[in-house]
Amino acid sequence: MKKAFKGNRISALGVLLAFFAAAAQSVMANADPPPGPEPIVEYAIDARLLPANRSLEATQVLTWRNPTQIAAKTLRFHLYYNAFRGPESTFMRERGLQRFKSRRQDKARRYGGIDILELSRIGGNELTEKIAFIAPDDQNEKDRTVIEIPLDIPVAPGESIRLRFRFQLKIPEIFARTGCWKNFFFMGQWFPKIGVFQDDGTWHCHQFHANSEFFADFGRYRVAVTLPAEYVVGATGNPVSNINNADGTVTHTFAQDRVHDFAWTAWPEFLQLRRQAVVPGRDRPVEVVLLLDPQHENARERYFQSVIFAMRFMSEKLFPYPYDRITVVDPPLGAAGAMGMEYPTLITGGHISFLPEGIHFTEMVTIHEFGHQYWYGLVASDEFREAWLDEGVNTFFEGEIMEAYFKKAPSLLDWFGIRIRDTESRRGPLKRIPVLEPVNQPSWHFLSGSNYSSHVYNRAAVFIDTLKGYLGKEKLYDFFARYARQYAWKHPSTHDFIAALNEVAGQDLAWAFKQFINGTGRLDLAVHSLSSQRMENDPASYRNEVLLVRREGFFPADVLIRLRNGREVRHLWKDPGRWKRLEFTHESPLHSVVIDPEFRIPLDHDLVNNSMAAQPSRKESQRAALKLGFLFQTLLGMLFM
Amino acid sequence: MKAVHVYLASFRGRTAAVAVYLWASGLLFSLPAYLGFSRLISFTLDGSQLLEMSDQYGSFTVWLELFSHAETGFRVLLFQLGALVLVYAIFSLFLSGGVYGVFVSGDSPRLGRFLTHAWKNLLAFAKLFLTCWLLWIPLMAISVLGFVLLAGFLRESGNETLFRWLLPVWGGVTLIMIGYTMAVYDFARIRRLQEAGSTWKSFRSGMKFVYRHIPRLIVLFFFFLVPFLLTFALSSAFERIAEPLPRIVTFAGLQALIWMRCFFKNALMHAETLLAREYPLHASPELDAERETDTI
Repeated sequence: MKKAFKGNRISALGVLLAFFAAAAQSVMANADPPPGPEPIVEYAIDARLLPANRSLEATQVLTWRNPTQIAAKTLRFHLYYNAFRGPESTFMRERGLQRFKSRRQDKARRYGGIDILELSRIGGNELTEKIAFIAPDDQNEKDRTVIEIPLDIPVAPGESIRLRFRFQLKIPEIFARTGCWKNFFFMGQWFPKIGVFQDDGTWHCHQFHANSEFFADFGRYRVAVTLPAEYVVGATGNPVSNINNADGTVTHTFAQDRVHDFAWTAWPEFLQLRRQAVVPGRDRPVEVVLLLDPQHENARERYFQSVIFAMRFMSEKLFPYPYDRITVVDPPLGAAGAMGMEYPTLITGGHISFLPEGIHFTEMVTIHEFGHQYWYGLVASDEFREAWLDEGVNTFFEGEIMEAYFKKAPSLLDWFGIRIRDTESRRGPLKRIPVLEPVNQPSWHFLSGSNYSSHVYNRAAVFIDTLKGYLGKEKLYDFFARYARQYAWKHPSTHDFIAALNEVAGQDLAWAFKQFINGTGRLDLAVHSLSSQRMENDPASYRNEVLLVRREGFFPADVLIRLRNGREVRHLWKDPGRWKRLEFTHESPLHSVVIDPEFRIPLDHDLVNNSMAAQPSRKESQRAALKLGFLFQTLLGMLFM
Repeated sequence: MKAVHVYLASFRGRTAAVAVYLWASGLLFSLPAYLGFSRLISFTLDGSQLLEMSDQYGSFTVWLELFSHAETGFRVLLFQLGALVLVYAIFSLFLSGGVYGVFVSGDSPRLGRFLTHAWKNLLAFAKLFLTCWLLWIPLMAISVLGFVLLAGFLRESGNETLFRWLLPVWGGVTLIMIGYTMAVYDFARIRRLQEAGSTWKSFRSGMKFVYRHIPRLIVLFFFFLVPFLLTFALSSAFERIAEPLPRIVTFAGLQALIWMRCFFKNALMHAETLLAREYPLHASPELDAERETDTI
């Protein structure tokens, strides 16, 4: 090869160029978004908002293709909006909001709901009378969030069915994602949405639970919303047209392919701001639309910068953001229930103008919700049954992006001397909530809302953080890039996640998932004792002994042994046994032992017992006590009157 | 100018000496905190290097680990310290008797005299303390009600812009009310020592005095607050730079700062007594009017 280069410089240059071209092509190939899916659903919705009545009337034409090998004899639909119908819905019961009834019963407008007025098979028969409410999860007869429709003529494999709906909504006051506050409307989970027909011929169509989110097939949405002209509208997808009507209303039409949900918002007060974001791996910029509460004008840059940073981060690490637009909605404080939620190409942030800037709430929410464009929007895992796959993974990425965004400054809180990193904040809930149930289980099986969030968000994210420490950041990011590309526009399960991870890691990591994701294992590694004794036969040497114990769980860990003469010894503790005795002879006695000195295992429940000094120094503890004591003395001084 | 004059006149050796008593009593009451935290943290760590690992773990994580590891211990200690705070609040009645006693009488600031005054005035001051709740309860009610209304306004209207303006207004009004009632309490005690009247009479006299001398008192409180708050900034700066210093030096430095706070507080109390002496209760309204022509 070397000779050839010398003999023909032009051809050598050509080879070199060809090599770089191939390399560049390969990089670009990796950077290209994966191909999109064949649509299974196609929604065409024509809705009219009646703000004065707090209601909405709509027609919907749904085309559904049976993607399985089994004929569908029935259809199932989500009517999520009926979660807000009254105090006896499963959602309200699980939220403990039955008390809502007594406090608010005089204000009927607090409740809402959806009614299907007509349903027919296009080119077929009328189906309205055949609608039956079912409650597959808890048999709650009062819950009206799932309907089943038997079909006279089943939908054969690969065939499609077209249905025409006419429905109306009574819009509730917003407290959980959807609804209205004064003339602000946020419309999420608002239309009859077909469930997912599975390969075994059953429907994946769960009721709306307090803790669960959503799951649906990818498809094509075209939605026209008619409402008074003064409203500023934002929605999933791209605007197609704005038509001024004779009655003083405007019809806004939005369309988007390759998404699995559609949400929109409308408020006359919105400031609509736009910016073009150049994103790695994309030919053209992404349009970032910010719908801002005018009272939050000072948050404009915080929103833009954090969402664009997150978009670039994810595009670089996984694959380029594949849609042409992202809409960030900044709900008014009165509609705080709409804050912090993700929908395809549309997210809601959260800004409270009287919070100090050192509280990075706005950035945290924006970054988290943007992360969901990948972990939920594109890699569309099952939020009902395996919520950790989107919330846990996304919380991990939230931490990564926040740390990168704020660099060395505390990423979550930097106020009045209180400094907290985003990744640090997850340990608090973990320490308070006992591990009574696995992370990976249906959302409505969790003991409580706080158990759900502590496990699904925090525990799962800390677990992934621990995998990062174990495998190394590069390998983990390599895995996420491959996994995201492999499962973009698909519905991966925990099994798929583990299989993909094992492949990249080059080892079977089932032992870790079995303990901490599918099981109720907790991890606690500890230094039990250490001792140094002068050797009788060699007074210049010491017999050093360290006893390590696994109080709970198993995870390989680095152990750092410091000797009094300043030397350090490393040991990889990977034996599965409950204890490990390390013995060695050395000219110096032990100084201290630290398990996991680089803090690569944040999953370790108790960090106090991770280290031990042979001759404990009280210097640091006295310094800490000095701080607390001084605080107390200051308080006393303030009390003197 | 009178307020400035009395404030500057309050910077005397006797003010500094009495400040030592305040500082020492504060330290005495704080010793259980210093020792309690020290013992508890040492016991919890038991040789652990947790505190040394704060660069890796993050300081929030370190404190979280520490508190959650010895949650019961910290709860018990904090409960005990809470009880101590209550005891100190009562003890501060005793101390203030000594401080005002020394300043009003012009007596020697020696410890014996200080304690004699403190003991002699305790009952009278306790009665005044209880009487002043007639002011403090409505003050708290007004302040809490104001906040509830403000929060309700924010919830219903969503007008954050106006809320951002109203919140400091609410805070300012609350501070003014606190300042006013504290001044009444102070001057009621001074009048009680000057006139030896009944509790009720002293209370009313204190109110009257504060009402008549509002501008002067504002100046006085301003002169007190600026250096007083400065000590907080100094202490946080000192805490940052004290990291490499020996603990005893850090401790001594922090105690010096506490003593400075006591000094500024005493200077205010001394200035109040000087002001009250300038405008005695039996002075004729004409004299008062004449004095009022002074600029502040």
